[in-house]
Amino acid sequence: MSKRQISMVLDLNKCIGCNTCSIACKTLWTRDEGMEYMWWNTVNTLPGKGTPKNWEEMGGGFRDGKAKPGHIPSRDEFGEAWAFNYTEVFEGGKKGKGSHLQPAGKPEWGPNWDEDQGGGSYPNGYSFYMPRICNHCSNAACLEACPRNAIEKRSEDGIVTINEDRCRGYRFCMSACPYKKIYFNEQTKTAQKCIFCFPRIDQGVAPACARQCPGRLRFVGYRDDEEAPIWKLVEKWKVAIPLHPEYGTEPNVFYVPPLNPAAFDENGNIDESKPRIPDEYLISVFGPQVLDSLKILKAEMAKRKAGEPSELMDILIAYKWEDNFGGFDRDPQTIDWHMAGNEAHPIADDSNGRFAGSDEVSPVKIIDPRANA
Amino acid sequence: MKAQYIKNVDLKQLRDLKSDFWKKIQPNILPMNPTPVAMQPTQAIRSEWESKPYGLVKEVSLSAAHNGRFVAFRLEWTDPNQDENRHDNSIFSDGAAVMLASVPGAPVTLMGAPGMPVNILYWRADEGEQGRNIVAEGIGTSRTVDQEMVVCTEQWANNTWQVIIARPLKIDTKEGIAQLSSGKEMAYGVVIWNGAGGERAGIKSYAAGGDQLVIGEAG
Repeated sequence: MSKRQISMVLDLNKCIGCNTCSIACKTLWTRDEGMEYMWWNTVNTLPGKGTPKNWEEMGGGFRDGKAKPGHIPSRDEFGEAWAFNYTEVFEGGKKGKGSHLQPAGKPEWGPNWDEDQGGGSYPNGYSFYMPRICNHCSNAACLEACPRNAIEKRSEDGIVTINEDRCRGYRFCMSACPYKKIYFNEQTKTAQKCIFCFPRIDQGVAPACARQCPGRLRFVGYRDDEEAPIWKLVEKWKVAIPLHPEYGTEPNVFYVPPLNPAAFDENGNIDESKPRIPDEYLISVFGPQVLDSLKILKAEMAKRKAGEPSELMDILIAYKWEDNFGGFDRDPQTIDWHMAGNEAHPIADDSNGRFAGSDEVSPVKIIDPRANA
Repeated sequence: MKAQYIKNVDLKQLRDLKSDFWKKIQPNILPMNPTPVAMQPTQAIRSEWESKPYGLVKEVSLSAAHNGRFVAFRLEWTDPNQDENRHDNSIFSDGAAVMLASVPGAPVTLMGAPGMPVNILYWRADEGEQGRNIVAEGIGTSRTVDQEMVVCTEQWANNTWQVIIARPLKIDTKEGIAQLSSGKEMAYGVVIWNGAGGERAGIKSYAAGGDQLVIGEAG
């Protein structure tokens, strides 16, 4: 048990599925050899098979307090990093016989393969985006499963990390994690996963996925900080709920569920008595608490429409971006990351700002991508 | 079981599967069993493996020799699959290890105990010649102390692994390894992992040496 628990809330009503979060994470943490296929942050469309493919059917976690056997996702289920024919397209094309950019071979799955397919049928098709990172669970199945005690929960903030010096690549964590957010690195022969950007957290900076989100949908902070959005959204307003609570791992990433519009009837008229997204589906994803959460959200929206104040709506609107971060709002560009004990990144001399978020394009020389993400 | 002294051979010959002296040493045939599921250190492992077969290797042949400076253990076992390169997340390497009690009374079957270390001389197919010198003081505590002192030779042919694991008899270290010398006796055991069966960590075949390993007198 950690002394405090850091947490993230994601408001799914604001997610546009742009994957800026995924790219922020990818450029920061998973660019080394052996990490090509890793996406510690993913965004998928629900309903859908997700990443890895059919992860919700792979087991792991706990049922009735007992560890449930799970499946280790294969590389194909995650989706390999595709190799593209860049040279052919940009340098090898013959006049009149231009090649178009395409992956080598015939990929059959990828990290966002079923984007925007969704569910339902016309005129009541529906979908929403589901960004996912490691849940940094309070009852982490990965930590319990590791026979080498290589997985640790940081006492100061509850971030779950893998000690790669102890990890021997046995991958029990991969079968145990019911969210399937752990990857195996064939080069280092160790398991790797989202670290909640702890080197940034240690410096008071929110994770890259949160800071770079154009939709301002991510909130960060300690769960017990009653002045900050996490506590208010999870504990006070009870609108932020975990993904698949039945997995029994007590996740510390929470979601404000998607508001559910009314369905169309057979004549094309709006039928307020029927939701577009079936309640059963939302319950299957978020548990029964989702219906209460949606009721609260709708009530507060109605209050706001009537001109009444609503603390909840004010939080979710995120008027002031920095207020999303529960005190972890330090500008990463103000930090000398070398002095902060973090080793220099290979892109040290990149000064064109290509790692900068849209809100943080830097006119100064970039020392480290962490300074821009 | 005796690690026989072999005169006038160097480490290279000790590590050579074709060296003549190996033919003259009568191997010990050790029956192997799966490590008990109840001894697996985590609930997730116990839960997953309580109904799955493991401990697929049922027998191992063990011979041992030394030249006064280095000791070599020769292991042979049947394995229809040569699992040495990972191709996917669910593929595991074959492996083998010889466990030696570092101090008298160290429980080899339990991988040692606090203050009573065992020394594990470890080979894994995907790591090839570079073996690991490991110390453990109980299940789940194994720790690689170096990757230089233990060297291996491997060959897979005719559905059989032949592996030699060698190291200096004495190693200058404060770590809790087994320091070997002529006439010394100690408890020992052998472990085999069948990668194709998903075996790794505590999911393995184990053979306890029913007797003591004796380092043969030079002479």
